[in-house]
Amino acid sequence: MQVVNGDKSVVDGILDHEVIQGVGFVGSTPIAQYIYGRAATNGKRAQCFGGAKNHMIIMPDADLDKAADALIGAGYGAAGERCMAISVAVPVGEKTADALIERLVPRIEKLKVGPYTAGNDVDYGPVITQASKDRILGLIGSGVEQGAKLVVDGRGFKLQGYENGFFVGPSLFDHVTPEMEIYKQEIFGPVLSQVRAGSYEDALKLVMDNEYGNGTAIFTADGDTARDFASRVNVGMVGINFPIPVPLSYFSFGGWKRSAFGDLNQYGPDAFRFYTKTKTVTARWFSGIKEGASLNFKALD
Amino acid sequence: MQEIGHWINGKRVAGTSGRFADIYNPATGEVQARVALASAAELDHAIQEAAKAQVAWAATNPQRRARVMMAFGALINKNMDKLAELVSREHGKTLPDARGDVQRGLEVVEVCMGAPAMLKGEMMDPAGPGIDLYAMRQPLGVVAGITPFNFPAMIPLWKMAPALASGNVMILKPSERVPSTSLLLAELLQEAGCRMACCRW
Repeated sequence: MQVVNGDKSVVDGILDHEVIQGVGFVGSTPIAQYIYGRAATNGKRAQCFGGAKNHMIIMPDADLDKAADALIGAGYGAAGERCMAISVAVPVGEKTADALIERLVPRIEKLKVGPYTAGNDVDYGPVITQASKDRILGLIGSGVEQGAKLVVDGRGFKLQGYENGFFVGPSLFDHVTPEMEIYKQEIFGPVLSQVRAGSYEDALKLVMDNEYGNGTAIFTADGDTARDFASRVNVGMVGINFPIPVPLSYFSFGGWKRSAFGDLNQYGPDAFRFYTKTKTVTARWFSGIKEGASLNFKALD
Repeated sequence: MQEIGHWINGKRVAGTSGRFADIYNPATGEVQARVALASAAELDHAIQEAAKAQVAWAATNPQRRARVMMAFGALINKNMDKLAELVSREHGKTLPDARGDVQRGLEVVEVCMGAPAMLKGEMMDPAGPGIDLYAMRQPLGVVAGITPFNFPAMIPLWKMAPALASGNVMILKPSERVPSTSLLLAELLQEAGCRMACCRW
């Protein structure tokens, strides 16, 4: 293996190089689509995984404490910089929505944000760059302007000694609607949006209509609802009372819709299909000269 | 200022393009290192050398390639804390989360320890009088992995382990925000027995 560091010119160099036969990519959706298109045009095999907007439906019969714990971990863990982060909570019914907010707020207030060197009780660290931080803060501002209710505002977060670090405090929005920028964009930051749904069908439709299809989850005590959801939803990885359903390594990872470009998933059995090509041989032997027997039991190498 | 280069033919080499990108400490906002950005000529050299090594690697008994994965997995476990620290230092995530990052990559290496069973192909017997019909799975050759900043260990491992276990060689281009984890993984892979420019494995 060679490790070649570089920027876009190295990426383009890989995509146009005639020796390269296959390209595996993970990143944002516009780049994933670009790499897939350019690699395919050049006759290369490609699997390119992009962005996400992962929804978690919370049914009225769900264990709301467990659902709230799951949302905290999946929404704010790694500062939300995960393509399998849950960024949209979809409680079904006003009562569920109110009860969920009631449980989320104290949990968010307890989150410890800091550098990784500050000990193992730090919940999450900074985002990757100043540009990323600025973009997240801008999106939070747009949410307020477009009429969402900012229940917890993480914009003013400051940490003594780390004033120039790229920290963003945890933010929680309620009454988010699909037209808002905070709903449409993958924020990739510690921001959770609650979209209230009137019914299970409305909640499911929201997930189905979203352009991304990486991961999703449902929290419910009803097996029939869970089964219906898993069967009908157009998303690649589904969690049932499980917030970040990254499949174990002997299955495979891949989203649907604009979260992935290419035919095969990453790792697991699909990876061996991706990284090999099939050659099929039809052989006929008219007669054979039988060799003398070898009595030794030996390795084939 | 620490300068991070590339991993070519089994060793760390400095970049020659004269172009660099800054690597920040996201907790302080300070530049902690800079990473070389390869030129077209450096990339081409890496690819051509990889293509030479691929022939022998593909001809290697798949079980021997799997044994490299076994040794690689053991080395990842042994270096878990070091890898996690590198992940945290450049990405900023917490150490327990960084260990999870390494762990979920390691699990893909573990599955690749059994790669030969996935590479067996198919056979029809009989396909006709005296006729054998069989399909084999052959490596693509030189493949590339282009990986993001958010999982500096996990996603490079998801790319490299199945590609290598299948008999390919890989050009890995990690995110220029977090190059150090990939370079350490390359070192461990070499220690595990995956060596460039070597014809007997």
